[in-house]
Amino acid sequence: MIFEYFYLVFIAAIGVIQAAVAHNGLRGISFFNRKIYAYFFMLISLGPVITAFFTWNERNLTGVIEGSEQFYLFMLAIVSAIGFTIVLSSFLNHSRLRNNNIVCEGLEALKDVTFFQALRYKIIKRK
Amino acid sequence: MITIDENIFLWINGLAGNVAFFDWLLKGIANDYLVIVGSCLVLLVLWIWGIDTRQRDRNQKAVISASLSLGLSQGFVSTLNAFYFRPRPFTELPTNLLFYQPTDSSFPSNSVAIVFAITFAIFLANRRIGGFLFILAFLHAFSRVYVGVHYPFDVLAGAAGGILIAFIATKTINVLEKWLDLVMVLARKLYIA
Repeated sequence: MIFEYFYLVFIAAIGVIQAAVAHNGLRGISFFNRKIYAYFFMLISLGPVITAFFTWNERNLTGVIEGSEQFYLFMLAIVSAIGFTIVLSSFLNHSRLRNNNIVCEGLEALKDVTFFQALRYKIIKRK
Repeated sequence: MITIDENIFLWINGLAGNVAFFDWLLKGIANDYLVIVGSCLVLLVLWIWGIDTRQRDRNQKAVISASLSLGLSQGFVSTLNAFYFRPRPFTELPTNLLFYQPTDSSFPSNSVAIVFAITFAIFLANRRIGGFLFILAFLHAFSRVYVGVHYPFDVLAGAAGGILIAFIATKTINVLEKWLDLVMVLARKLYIA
């Protein structure tokens, strides 16, 4: 039950992150080069998760995850989903995005570079 | 003697068991995960959302405020539960129970307090998304009475508590804005905000 909760939140989080980054043009952390693919990805990841949560009590008749446990599981799933997104998007976009001039800070910078490229440029700039 | 609260409960819960589709729909909405997880996923989207840094900054402060509200509302309910226990309606009244039987205190509704706290904190910063979340929150509150696990006054108290906490949390965040800005600058340097 705990594992089920974890992976449902994990999948849903990856789906909504992809839709949000695509909508806001953050190409550096997107898995896809077209927005429409990201929206479709969100639909196919979020749809089953909503269905699974909706029918939770039909599968787990007395299935309750206690409040604090739910909080930790949720945070763990979200952090894992963000980590997974950063690693996979950096890998997928490594050769596509090669901008040597980062003018912005924060998430805005990820419109032109991947997360790891941004960190690397920051370290090089410091030296 | 049957109180007004019990009368309203009996009326709303009396609607259950008549239309199978509504029973199925409200049972799904009443569960402890769907609306809470959905609201928290909206927070995740809002953290990223924004056409420019200014709009994103405003959204991110709302997310911080909503997260603080979530934690405080959980604390508020736990504290009240330590001092006051109200039995669930299905233990006292003839009930159409569509749900499992929770054993904790009926007053105030924990899930409703959390959902309304998140919703109101977002509503103060973004009326459109907040308005959408309010619809979900009201449906969740109604469904908890419909399926027979709360009295109307439990969900009203939960909603009022959640809203009050979100208001206080947002004001606190506004007062601490200078400090929060420092944290945000650091987060931006790490490309996470």
